[in-house]
Amino acid sequence: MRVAFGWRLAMVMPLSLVVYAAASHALLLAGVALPVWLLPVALGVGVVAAAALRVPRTAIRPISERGAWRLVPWGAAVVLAGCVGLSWWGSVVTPDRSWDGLVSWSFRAHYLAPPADLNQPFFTDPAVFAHSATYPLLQPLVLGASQALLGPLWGRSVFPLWMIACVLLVATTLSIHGLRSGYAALGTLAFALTPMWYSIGSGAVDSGYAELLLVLVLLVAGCGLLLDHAWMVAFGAFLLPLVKPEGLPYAVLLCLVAGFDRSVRRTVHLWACGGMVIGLLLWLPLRQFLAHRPPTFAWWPLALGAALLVGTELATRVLPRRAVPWLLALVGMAAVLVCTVFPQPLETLLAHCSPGLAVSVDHLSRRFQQLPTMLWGYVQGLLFARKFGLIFPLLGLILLAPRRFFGPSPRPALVGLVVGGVAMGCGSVWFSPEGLEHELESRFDRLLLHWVGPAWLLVFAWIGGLADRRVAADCPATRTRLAP
Amino acid sequence: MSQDLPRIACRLTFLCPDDGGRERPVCDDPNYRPHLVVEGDPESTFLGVQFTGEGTELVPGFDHLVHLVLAYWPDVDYRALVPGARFTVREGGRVVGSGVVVEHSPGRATQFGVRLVVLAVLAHLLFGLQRVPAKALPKRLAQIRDYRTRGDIGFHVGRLSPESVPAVELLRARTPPDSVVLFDGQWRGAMELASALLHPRLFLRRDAVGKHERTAHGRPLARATLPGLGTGTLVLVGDADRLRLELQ
Repeated sequence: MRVAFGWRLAMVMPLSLVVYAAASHALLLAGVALPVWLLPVALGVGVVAAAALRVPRTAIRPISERGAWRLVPWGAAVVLAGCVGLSWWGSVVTPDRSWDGLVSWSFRAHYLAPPADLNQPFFTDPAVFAHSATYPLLQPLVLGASQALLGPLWGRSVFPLWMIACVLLVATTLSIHGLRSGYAALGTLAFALTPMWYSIGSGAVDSGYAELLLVLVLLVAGCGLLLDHAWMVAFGAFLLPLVKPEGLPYAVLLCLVAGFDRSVRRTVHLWACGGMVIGLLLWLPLRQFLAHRPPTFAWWPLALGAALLVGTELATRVLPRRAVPWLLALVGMAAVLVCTVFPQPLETLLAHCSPGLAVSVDHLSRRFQQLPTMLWGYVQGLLFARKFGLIFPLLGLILLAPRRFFGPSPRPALVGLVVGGVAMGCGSVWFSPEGLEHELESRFDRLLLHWVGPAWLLVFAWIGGLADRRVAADCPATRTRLAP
Repeated sequence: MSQDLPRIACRLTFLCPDDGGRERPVCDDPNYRPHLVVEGDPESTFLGVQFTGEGTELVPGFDHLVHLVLAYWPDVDYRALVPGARFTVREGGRVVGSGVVVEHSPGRATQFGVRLVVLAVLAHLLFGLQRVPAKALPKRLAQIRDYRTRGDIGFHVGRLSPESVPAVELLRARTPPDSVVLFDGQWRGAMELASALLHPRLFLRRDAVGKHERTAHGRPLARATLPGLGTGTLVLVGDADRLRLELQ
């Protein structure tokens, strides 16, 4: 009962975000100024929708804690309250103190505060200085509305609230998945005590960066995959392209893993693709507007979403199970072949599709020469305990250990999402136009931070309950008579 | 039987033949390998198990305490068989009994692996717990003190290039908030901070307006008198991380 209430409470924030994102993007597309009451209304709709949402259930029923383990959730709650309190105070005590928080996110939030629309020189005139002009607008929209309602400082309370939503999601999802409350509390605490959340630089809760919101959305998607909950996955896929540019490839990855994991229900894949397509339908016309000059293939992500839906459905429904790996290998080989035979047209095509990426053969060969530095940078980033603690070494241990130690994964799709996301972060270094040193020092850690939430979720869902060797306290006999 | 395979202790009751159970009672020995289906499992996964007793007859209609080996671990996920979980015993599609898990004994390798992970998690928690009060809080306090002492412009622009601070402060002090500030040179670096700190002033590229224009987008261009340079439209010029003011 308490877990169901906590899960609904955790879902209020994602649901409100979905409602606000859909409404605000639609209004901006229609050229209508955003009303100031839109955010409270979205919050109200979120509360009602969360109350109406079906609480997922699994076959695993957690056993109750005994002895000292009973104190673990209470201890965790005290520590979490302290951590959230610190972040809350750090958020509202001064305006932005971090670079990107100021120049990239809060700056645009000023221009999007209600009543505002996109018909202002800041968005329409390319000669006006606008940092990150083509970045998605969800965080500036929410922050602007919140600051319009609560003032410039207290409006920044959205950041600790997002952190609270993340913490609640991890705790309740692990509980619903069947972990004892002590293990669920440890998992939540491990996520919340990731040192980077409390650093004074990029990615911290109170820094104003969009990393936290992206982590919340990825957590919604990850929890949906773990619990096989189609709505949650759809919300994640819908919100991902609206939060950060990285959200689009993450959404594609989410659709892929949901499609290829046969332990996930079909509807989850369909809803994921549907969510992504709706998100793109709202975002792509706005991005074209913001970019001033529409790129040649501005609608390619939408085509990609549709292709993903059809392709994955065909591959998993029509083809026999054994043929799927062969099909994937064939597609990969064909891609390599096309890249080798037609490098120039492909380079032009990719440059049109993703103007922010460096995809030239020269650039990639230069990166190849820097391979040792790059690999060392990856290792340093993944093992950097002062930022991520021990999550990535732990994840590596569980993934690479022989299966007799940890058994099968609780959900292959979640493994695919986390591993694929980390691999994407590593791969993005190859295609970044920035210098390698700068990329590894200032961006790579944030790309890894995105996966901290789903990674802790995976680790605890994997090991939780494996080693329980206890007699169930509430274990009645199945019949009244014992055998003689 | 390998010690690496997990086991469960459970109480189970076989159905009487009148209730649709088996005609002949089963014996608790390793030759008997039915499937269990956990109650509440939406997918009704069949979990293959093996009995481990020494041939005792399991009388239908009576409650028995038996030990089962989870025979297909780790290829099959038996996580649902936690203590307290209720299940039915199946022979093919036929339900022949029901039971409840009393105790779960993981294999030795699993015990070792989970202990290792829990130790690592505890190390992670201790590390995080000592860092928040020892590092995060003092650093944040120092940063906030610095922000309050130097003001937003001094804090942001001053860290990058202290010599640029007067130019940005002059713009804030001498130009109306609804004005348009012309800019030129490099936009990366201090210019990014200046444009955000001087909101709601609009930053417009110098070459986007004519030399004798006084307004842009219906707003006045920022003008001021600079000592030794006279009066004119202000242009903020970015040069790497430095900013300087020019008159147009």
